[in-house]
Amino acid sequence: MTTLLAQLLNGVQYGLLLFLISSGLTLIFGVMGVINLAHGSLFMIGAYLAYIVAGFTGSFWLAPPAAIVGGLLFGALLETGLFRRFRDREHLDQVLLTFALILIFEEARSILIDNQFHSVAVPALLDFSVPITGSFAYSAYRLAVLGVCLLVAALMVLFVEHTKIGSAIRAAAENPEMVGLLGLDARRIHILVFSAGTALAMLAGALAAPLQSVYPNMGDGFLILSFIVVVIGGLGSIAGAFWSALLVGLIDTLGKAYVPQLAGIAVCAMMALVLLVRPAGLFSKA
Amino acid sequence: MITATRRGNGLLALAGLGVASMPLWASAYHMQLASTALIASMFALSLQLLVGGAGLVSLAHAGFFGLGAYSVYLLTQGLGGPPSVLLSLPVAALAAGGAALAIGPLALRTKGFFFLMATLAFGQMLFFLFHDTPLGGSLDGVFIQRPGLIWAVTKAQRPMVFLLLNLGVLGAMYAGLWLLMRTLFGHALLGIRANEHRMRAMGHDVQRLKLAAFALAGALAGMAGHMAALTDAFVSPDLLGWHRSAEALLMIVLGGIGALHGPILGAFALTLIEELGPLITERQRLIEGAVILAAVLLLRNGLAGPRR
Amino acid sequence: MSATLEAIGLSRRFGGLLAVSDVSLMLRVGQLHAVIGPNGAGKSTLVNLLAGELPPTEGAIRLNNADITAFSAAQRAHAGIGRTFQRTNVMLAMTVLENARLAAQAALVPNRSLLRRAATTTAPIAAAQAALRRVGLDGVGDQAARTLSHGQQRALEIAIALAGQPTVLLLDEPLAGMGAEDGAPIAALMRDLAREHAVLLVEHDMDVVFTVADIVTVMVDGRVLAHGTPAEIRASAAVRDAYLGHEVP
Repeated sequence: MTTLLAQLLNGVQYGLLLFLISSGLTLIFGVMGVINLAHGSLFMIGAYLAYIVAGFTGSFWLAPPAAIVGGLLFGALLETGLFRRFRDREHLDQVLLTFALILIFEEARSILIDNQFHSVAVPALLDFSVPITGSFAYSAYRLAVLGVCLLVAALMVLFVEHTKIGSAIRAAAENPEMVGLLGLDARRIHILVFSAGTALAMLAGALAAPLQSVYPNMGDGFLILSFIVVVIGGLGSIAGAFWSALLVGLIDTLGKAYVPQLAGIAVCAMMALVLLVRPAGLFSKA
Repeated sequence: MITATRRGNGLLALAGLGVASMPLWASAYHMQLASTALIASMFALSLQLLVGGAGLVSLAHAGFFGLGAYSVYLLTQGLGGPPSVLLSLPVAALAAGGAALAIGPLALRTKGFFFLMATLAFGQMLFFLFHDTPLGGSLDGVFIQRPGLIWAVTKAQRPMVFLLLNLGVLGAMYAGLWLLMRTLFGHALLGIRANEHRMRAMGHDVQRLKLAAFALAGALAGMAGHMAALTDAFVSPDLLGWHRSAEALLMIVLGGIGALHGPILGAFALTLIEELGPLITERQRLIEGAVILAAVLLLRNGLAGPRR
Repeated sequence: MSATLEAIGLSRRFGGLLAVSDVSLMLRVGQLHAVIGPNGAGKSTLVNLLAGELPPTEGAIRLNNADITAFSAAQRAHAGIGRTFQRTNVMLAMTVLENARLAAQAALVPNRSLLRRAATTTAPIAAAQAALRRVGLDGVGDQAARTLSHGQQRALEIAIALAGQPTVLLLDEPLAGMGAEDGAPIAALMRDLAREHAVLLVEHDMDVVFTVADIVTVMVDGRVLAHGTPAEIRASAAVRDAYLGHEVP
């Protein structure tokens, strides 16, 4: 019973991390029309950044803000330097170019750091367990991650639903021509969306670093899962990404805990089911 | 759109003669290397039916390749000994084609970006099937007993025999696809690539045409996987990973999306680059990354010529 | 003469907007039925409803008294409904003949014969050549469609529809973007086509409509405002007030 509770909480927390990654992915494609296979690598870069920052300052606390700031800057750099040029390319070219980015990011990681597994210590302040029921206590750090993700999700919803730029982004995700029609500077919106998406993926990587090892190709699994989240959630939909990320996170976590051999297949099978019933996504209006 | 040109066919015939004469002048190592390139050619060529043929960019293709390879292992397990190649090759094609026929109707409900994501996920599903479950034997891969050829082959003859066998299978595959692209079906696929919406409005059953191409391409990839298992006597879940699908896409773009012989040029070029790359740097990924950038950004028409 | 294509109380809603509202009309072989109306009147939506591009929110569509409301666009093409697009929508990279040939192939070749060689399967080629001759493109069959002039591409739109062997032709602004000089032969062609097809013509150019149409339906804000012969429409005060204004000669 208590392990089930722990696994449920783990699943929710994992799903929320997935949401941080896939919300960026869905918005970047929805608004810019760019397929970014290297989105999982951004998660990897965020985790390694946390490893470096924690090692350098001796404390984990600076890692999440560093991932956000670094992500915004790195995202702006990538958008203006590369992705802006990819927008007019066919999907096939985008797939290959962003696949090349994965290879280059991984090689850069190998040159700058190494090919080893590393662990990042949970910050001392949160290195305890919170009693939840009489016999069950849960990691405070995991609870903190859960809280931070929920906070970020709430901020995103507030921003997207209640600001002018946010509603432009929503409109653009549904119909990219809308940006021009609303008299908005498409280039700025693209930089904003791409930077925010990069920062979210890197923040997810930094938050995940103390939970799992930091290791080469760690973004690959997250890339597949976040693609599945986007397919299930429907294109360009923040709410869809949120609920389907929770669903995928729970199924993957519970699957790994109870039927480890079938966890990967179960998530894919769920996507197959969604495609069968609602090909435009579980949370689409259609 | 893909076309098989007279020049392309002539070029391939010459290259084929060159490869066929390798036993006269090349070392066993180089014949094995050529076999690797021939198998990569089959794989990329089978994907070209989707990409250049129907305009479908699939990331599930390595899954079908790996399924074909693993079908040799599973068949050996099931029969308690290695099957004849006359059995294992059709079984590999049927297994992979059957899987594609099952996955196709679901994946083809999506388009563009979503098709990419869906095929990526379905490809990984096949990967998980052999990586996570006991079905695949071991997650590091397993050595297999080779299917029996029609005649007995000594160890020393192997590189030569497999080279010629792979050349024959690739030649048959190319000829088959060349004929197929000249049929009404082939022309309809090209129409879908050019303008799917108008093809629907004309009354073509686009979904069914695409599914037929998807299943056939899957079966051909399964044959390529079978030849890989036969040649290497080793299969691993790595064969099914999506990176391999991306590599096959790279071979197509590198060789030229506009030509049926493009993927073969691309596969040989990439095999050669990966063989010679370590002379420059040990960092394989940098080489591959650079090749992609060159192929997509500089060499837009591919090695085979005009793109459209 | 029996009714060919019949729309019964068709409506289509996009979110809060009622683009087509309770439209009924009947297309008959031998008649050229024009639909006119200002921009945003729902004319193109009506064509898309009839062609199966969009499902109606309400209403039914019957072809020779059989209900085809649930048919997809491809199924309707098979049933004999051919259409052109307002914005040229052809295979630009392919030759003119191949464009028409693919349309004829969809109509004439059953699935089981798809593995025949295209170059020697004569029926679709002959049908395509006939369609190209009809619209005057027989001289440019070997050219890529993207090399055609705008007027020729508009003619190719019609040839593709004809090659599909339709009984009903839905022509969505076939003269869009064409001058009077290019338009005249197409107008004559439409008149000619109406002899053996049921033709629906959506058109902006009033002069053309009043010259070629047998029946005119006027749409405003998604609704049918008036319906009648060109002479009746010309005389209608309601139409004049609502739409035609000073344009009526």
